[in-house]
Amino acid sequence: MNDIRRIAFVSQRYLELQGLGPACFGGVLILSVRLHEATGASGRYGGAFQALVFAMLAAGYATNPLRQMYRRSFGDLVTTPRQRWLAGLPLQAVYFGALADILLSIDRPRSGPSLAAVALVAQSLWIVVRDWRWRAHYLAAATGGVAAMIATGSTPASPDQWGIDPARSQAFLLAYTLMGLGIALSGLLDHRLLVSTLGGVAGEASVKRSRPADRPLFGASVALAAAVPASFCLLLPDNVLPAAQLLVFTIGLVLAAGALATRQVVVAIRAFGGRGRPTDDGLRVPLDPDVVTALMAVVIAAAAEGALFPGQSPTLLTAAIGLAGGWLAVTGWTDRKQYVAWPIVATFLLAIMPRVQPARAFALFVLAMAAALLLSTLVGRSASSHRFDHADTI
Amino acid sequence: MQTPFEYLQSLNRLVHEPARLAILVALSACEKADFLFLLNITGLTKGNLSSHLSKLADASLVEIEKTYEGKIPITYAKLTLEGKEALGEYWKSVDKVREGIRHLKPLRTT
Repeated sequence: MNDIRRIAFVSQRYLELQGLGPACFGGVLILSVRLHEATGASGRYGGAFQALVFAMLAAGYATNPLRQMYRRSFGDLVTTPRQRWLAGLPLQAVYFGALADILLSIDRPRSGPSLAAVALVAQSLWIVVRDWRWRAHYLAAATGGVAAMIATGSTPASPDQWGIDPARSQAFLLAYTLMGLGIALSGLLDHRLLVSTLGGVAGEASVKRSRPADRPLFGASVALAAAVPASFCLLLPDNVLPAAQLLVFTIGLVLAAGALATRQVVVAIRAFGGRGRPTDDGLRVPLDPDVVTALMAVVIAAAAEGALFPGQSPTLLTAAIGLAGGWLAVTGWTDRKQYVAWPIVATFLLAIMPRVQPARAFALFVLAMAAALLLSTLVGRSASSHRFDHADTI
Repeated sequence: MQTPFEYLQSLNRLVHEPARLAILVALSACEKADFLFLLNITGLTKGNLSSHLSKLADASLVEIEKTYEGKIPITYAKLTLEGKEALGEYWKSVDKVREGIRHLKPLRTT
């Protein structure tokens, strides 16, 4: 009977449990805040909100590819409009709260807690109450939201300032870091719950609809999309870099999304007139619980460093990525040797990072992580055996 | 009034089988689901799932819909109105059995 309840719950909440979307938003929000702090965002008009908007943009672009990855991994479930609405509600509530924060601070900084944090607390508590048995981990998001409310609520706006209030901006950046941590952890735990229910067969039976050749291509595309703007930033002189970096990364993100959309258009045109919809090829979601644990450790390290050492180079984050990759590779060398790329790249990065300014360190960080992603994708391709078959036997 | 045992006898055997019950419960929580999702959520083998789906389709509890994704065939299963009613009746019967045996106490043995 317990299994039947679990089946009913996971089928009903299939879209909501696809936690890599919220985890992506939370993770990018933490990184974005750190990047903005390194470029002196707290002293700029609307600097804190720029960090949030960047994360919203990145998460928005990642939504569809992630949905497709889940579909490839676990199959397709056509949900009701209500289920689709409920699945989008948690992040949308935070987005609307953030939008209200921005609109209310247009003319001058406003005192009081962040409305995005209030929305996060409200929706997280609602999920905890509704799905207590399975999703009590949303208490992490609620805690992050409460901490963010305290951080922003305890820093009143300076009445003398017009538009720019560094103390208030700093409080918002800290709040977004705490919110990002809560959202990322809850999302990753949602993903783990989904994988623990559905992952057994998906992992063992090699039911794959994605063409193996597309995986390195996809990894290389993502790596390239990150590496090009980072390389461009490294070419800029020190005095220009902090001001230009955010713009360059945002343009890189938009171009990457455009390239992805163009590819989808080409696939759709090729399939035009054929029977059925075009082949949905590409990556699958990580099913290994150790990878999810490693991601959680990295997110915690990034948030801790952001909260304790704002505006500094991402040293602890790089070390955490290196250690997590090393741990994954050492504890499962046969299947996870591709993660060895991460400690190698992290070691190089840690050697260079102390010699450069924080803004340049972030550009280096993005470039190095793109290189590690490319390396691990290529190694992973040669390490794993690929089978291509389809599931239907009926 | 029927006894709990009579209710137990009246349970729909087609629905009562654990694998088929799992399929019906999964389908009742959505509009339709594809073969791969059902394979994952029930943990059945392809052959078993195929066989159970065929039985449910023969009884008109489930509707099978075939489509293509490129050259790959994709099979969707959808709960029919009869399927929804059968599952609803099944849960009512289970509730009655549970209600009926709630006051029963095991015999004391010396």
